[in-house]
Amino acid sequence: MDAHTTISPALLKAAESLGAALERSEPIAVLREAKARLDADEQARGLLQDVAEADAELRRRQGEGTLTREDIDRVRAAQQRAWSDPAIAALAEAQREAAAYLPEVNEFISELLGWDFAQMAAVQGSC
Amino acid sequence: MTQTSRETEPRSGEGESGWRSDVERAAKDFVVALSKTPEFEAFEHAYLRFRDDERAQEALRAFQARQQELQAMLILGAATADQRAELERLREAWMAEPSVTEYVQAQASLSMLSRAIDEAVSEKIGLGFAAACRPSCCG
Repeated sequence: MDAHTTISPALLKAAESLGAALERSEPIAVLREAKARLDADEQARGLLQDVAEADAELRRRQGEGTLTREDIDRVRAAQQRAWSDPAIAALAEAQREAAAYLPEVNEFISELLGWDFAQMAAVQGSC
Repeated sequence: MTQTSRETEPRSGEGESGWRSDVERAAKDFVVALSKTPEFEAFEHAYLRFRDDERAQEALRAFQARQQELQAMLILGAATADQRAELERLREAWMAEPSVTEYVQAQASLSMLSRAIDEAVSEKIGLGFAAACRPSCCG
């Protein structure tokens, strides 16, 4: 939270209630369950770790100018293994569903406000 | 420039069971709470003042008209230093209008508040709310 911004108790309560309602919504609940399943799945976590390591190695070699076709193939193979894992695929799908739902909520809020809430939250922000 | 035309409604949709109506209700309550903040009120006031300020509107029109005239040159990087300086002068003249300054400051304050709210909501749901709503950004 920004050090120079104070949220009034009433607004904070309303924002937390909105967060809680979103948390109970189907897309977010499904996402939370998918994350929990992934966290409990050692094999899936290992596959994601493989992707991260292969990707880090690719970036390192890219920086050194020693990147080879094998490095790229290694990342692709690790990604393919990861995406074919049911827990990872379920999480990716849940993330897509949740990311598709949130703009609907923002549109609803923004229509009431008369200005785009997400855009306002992003002004002077970083992306 | 953003337009304000807030309209809040009383709670509705009680008959619609399920999480969608819960979210809508919470969103409406949130909008009511947000609309009562000093940041929101200052922004709305500043917007109306800017909208009704003929001098500021004229300065904006002058800037936009010249910007449009030079658009192709600017895109191609072919605008001269004098043309770029002229455009900058017009922009500064517009930004120096008191109602514009007030609007920009009010927008910055509301933006900071919106970011803080976004962080609170995002933390609750474990996903960046505003980030997921930006068209060309990864959610």
